[in-house]
Amino acid sequence: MVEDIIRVIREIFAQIAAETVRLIPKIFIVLVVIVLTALVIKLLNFSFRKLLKMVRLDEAFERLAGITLPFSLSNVIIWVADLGIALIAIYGIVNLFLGTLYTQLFTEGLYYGARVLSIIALTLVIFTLFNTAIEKVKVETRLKGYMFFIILLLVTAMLVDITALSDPVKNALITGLSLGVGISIGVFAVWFFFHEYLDKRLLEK
Amino acid sequence: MKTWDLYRFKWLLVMEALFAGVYISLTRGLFVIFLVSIGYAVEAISFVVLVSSFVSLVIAGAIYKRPIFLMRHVKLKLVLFHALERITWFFIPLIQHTLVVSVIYSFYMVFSSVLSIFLSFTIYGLLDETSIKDVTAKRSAAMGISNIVGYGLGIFLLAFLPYETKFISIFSLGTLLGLFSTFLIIFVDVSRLENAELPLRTMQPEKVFSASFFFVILLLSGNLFGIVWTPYIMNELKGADFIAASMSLSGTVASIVASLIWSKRSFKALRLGLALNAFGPLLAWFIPFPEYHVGISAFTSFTFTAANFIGTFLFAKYNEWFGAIKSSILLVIIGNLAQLASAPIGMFLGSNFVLAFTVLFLTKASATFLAMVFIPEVAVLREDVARTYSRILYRNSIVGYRVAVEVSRETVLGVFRILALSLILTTLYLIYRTLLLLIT
Repeated sequence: MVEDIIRVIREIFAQIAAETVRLIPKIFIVLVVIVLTALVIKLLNFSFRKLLKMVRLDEAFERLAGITLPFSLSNVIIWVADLGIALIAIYGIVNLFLGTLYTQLFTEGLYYGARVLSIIALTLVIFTLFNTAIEKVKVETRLKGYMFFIILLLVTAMLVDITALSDPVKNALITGLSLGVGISIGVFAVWFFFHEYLDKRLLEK
Repeated sequence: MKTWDLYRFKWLLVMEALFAGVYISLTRGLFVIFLVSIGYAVEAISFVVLVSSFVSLVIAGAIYKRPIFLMRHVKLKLVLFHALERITWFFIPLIQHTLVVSVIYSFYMVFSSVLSIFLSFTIYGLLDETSIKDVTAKRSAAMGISNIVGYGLGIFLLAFLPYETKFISIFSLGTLLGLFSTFLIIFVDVSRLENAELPLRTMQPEKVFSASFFFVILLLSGNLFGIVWTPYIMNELKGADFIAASMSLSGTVASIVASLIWSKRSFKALRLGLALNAFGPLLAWFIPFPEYHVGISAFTSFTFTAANFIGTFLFAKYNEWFGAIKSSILLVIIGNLAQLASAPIGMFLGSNFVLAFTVLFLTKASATFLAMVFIPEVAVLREDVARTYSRILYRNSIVGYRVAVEVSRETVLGVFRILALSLILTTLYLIYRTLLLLIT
């Protein structure tokens, strides 16, 4: 009885040991990949920082576009480059350890991540433009609130696109939001162009 | 320096030049032949010279900006660069690949450039004006003598050694002889150069400017003459190849004699040599008999030595207030600048000998004119008048230089910025393209 238990334990340990031994080269390769990735990122960061310092990208963008961004364009470029290198490394590791099925999963995750990132980027761009427009043109508070509302509706529509809801629900929501945005803009346009005429007619009544 | 020490110091430097002469003949002197033997075309040879001269110029410029490099551990650096310059030749024939040869030759040029600065610094930093003239002349003569021996040995070895091992053997022999001169350098006492001081400000910058300007033009004319003359004799006048070799020999012999004769002469006497040197291109152009060119070569070498001494001796004279450090670096920069300018001009002139000799005469005449009008020590004008002209030339050049720098600075910076941004965007594209190729 005891011998059987010892034999089973021994077999379990032998199997674990065999698997570990099989995994060692892969672990070693992964370590090398991680070290190399860190090195490449460090080197890239160093050279990009030097080059961007010479290019003075943020300064040039401000001068050309007349807009001050709430973030540094140089840092965004460095961050995007680092992300690219890191993704290549992660893809390599996933491929090495988990095989084709998981690489497909990784690819899908990547596409999803890209969509999330694009929404964040788009939101940032819209809000920056909104902010700049408000600064440049003296807009009254009510109008500011209205513009903010429209932007929020647009961002919500984009967010609905990346949720895990079913397609019919997504379609319904996005159609509703689009209709809402369209009607709001239409009502606003009517008020903006004809409010004096409408005020006069209402007072007459 | 005590008399015996001075005597020993001078002779060590002369002996160093004696061995260096053989080493140079066996290595650098045969380098072009080596390049041709491994399949280099003329354009490629010019390109190698151009790139290596540019690298040397940049290195010399960097040392001029940060001369502290020269002032610490002088002996160690002098010996190290002396040895490195020679050892580089050992590697050049081992891998007969064009790119590798170009890279190693560039290293050689850098070592050579730094070594020239250290050797000039040793001479200018430890000797007075008279001794500098004496040592320069004797070193020049010694180098000329050993050049003749070296070329003789080189021709003999080229003729009798088997093709496969020819250049490895010759360059190795050159390296060994060169390292013997390194061994001699070990005994040169340079302890007084340690932590040498830089003059706080240049007292008469216009003099240094005029002398440098003159020297660049003069050396440029010398280099151009070297590029144009031999093809003219062999291709245009159909002279035999032994005439070209004899011209080289007569020129070297004349320079040995000239070094000893001109070394004791005043600037006024040297300027006669300079003026006569300007006629060299005209004689070479108008005398159609190749045999006579052996004599013309002796004449131009003899007079060019005098002209060359004007530049060297001027710096020896200015050494007291300009400082040995700056003098030595500037002399190397001048040499590199002249070499760098002569390669593209030489390529442009090509085999248009009428244009080439006209340009040569004008260059030499310009150098003579510069010396006669703008350098007070050499000028035919009164010294105060020449000094005034020199100041005017200096100020106008400075103003012109500043305007040119200001105008071109922004343009160059703009171009570099666009290039840098393109590089960054290309790298980003490459990263994400790789990722895309991996996942699809």
